[in-house]
Amino acid sequence: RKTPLKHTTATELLATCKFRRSSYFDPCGSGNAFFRQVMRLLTHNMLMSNAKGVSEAEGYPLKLEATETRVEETEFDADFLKKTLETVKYDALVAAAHAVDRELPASLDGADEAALRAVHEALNDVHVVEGALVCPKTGRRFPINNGIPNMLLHEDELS
Amino acid sequence: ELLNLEPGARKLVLDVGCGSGLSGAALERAGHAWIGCDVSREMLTIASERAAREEDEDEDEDEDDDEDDAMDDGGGGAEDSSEDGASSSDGADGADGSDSDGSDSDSGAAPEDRPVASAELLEHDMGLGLPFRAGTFDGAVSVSALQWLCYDNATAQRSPRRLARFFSSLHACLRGGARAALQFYPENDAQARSIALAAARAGFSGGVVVDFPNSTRARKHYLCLSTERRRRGGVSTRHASVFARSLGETTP
Repeated sequence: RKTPLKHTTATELLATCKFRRSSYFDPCGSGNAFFRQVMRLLTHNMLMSNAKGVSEAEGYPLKLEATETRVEETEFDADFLKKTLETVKYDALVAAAHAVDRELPASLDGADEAALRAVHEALNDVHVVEGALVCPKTGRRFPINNGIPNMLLHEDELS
Repeated sequence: ELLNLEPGARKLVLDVGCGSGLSGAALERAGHAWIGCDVSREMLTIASERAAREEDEDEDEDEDDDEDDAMDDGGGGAEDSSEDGASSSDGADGADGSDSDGSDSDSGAAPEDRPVASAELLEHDMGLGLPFRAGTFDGAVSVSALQWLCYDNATAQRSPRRLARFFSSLHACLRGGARAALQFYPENDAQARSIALAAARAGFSGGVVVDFPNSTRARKHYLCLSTERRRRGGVSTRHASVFARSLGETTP
């Protein structure tokens, strides 16, 4: 990576670095994947489709489909959550939370601690392991595998 | 320091070409949340393992030696030994990890003690444009990634378009006034200039700062960008000191 070669494309160079998937998931063969950080709803709130012909208004928010999720509880901090919520598009969060079977109030009362806790859990504790993000305009699916969304555009989607 | 983030505040930072998460780990230590993009899913897998392991092992100083080995070698015979190494360390960690849902007394801290997770990862090619809505990030960093925008992709995406898409989308997804500190390895001056020019065209101001310019080994280029428009505008490759003064900050 420090000394790029001439006359070689980036893709070819990457192909020469063979990182094989070793047994990160199942080292003991016990069937228990050890828990990894995977996509949460805060990230979903930031993502849009940037394919050709799709404006930000049309490509956001992506519809979340989750076929496999995990929950890992984290510390609740009301002030920190409120700060985070300043940059969150709340409607998109409500829709995404619904997709992972969590119902949030349509409008959030900052004094309602139970509601804040529910929002905190939806934002930070639900990890989408398998699923997809779907463009609301075109229906184009960006798959989520092993908790990592694949946002790579195809050749015909490039502007 | 270059990002000029408010001390003590937790910000959201983009790590472009985050690889196996080393630079992201530094962001986490500074208390920030980050989202990383990389074109290599393999590297992202390593990064997500690293993040989980660091959460589980507070006292365990046995760091990611095996992962570092896996990252450094490019293939061939060494690959097998590093893979075994990674497996054996994962073997030890797997026991902790599989209990991470709380039953293990050693690594499974009570939910109240767990920090809010900091890292998110995306598989994406920065040359396709960044898929984030406007004003998402408080800052952006990159280590050793931008030079790849100077090469044409196998799928016939030409370098100028890749540079343009990257910088215009970066500008859009940074909050107003946010900064980017992007370290890269240009093969030559022409590459450094084309990168700086593409940044300027996207509306950034700033410059390229070169650390240790006289050393071939230690020399590092940092593209320092701001979304604030300055009087001069544009991105300078030569007047690094002017850039530092115009930002009114301490010397990078």
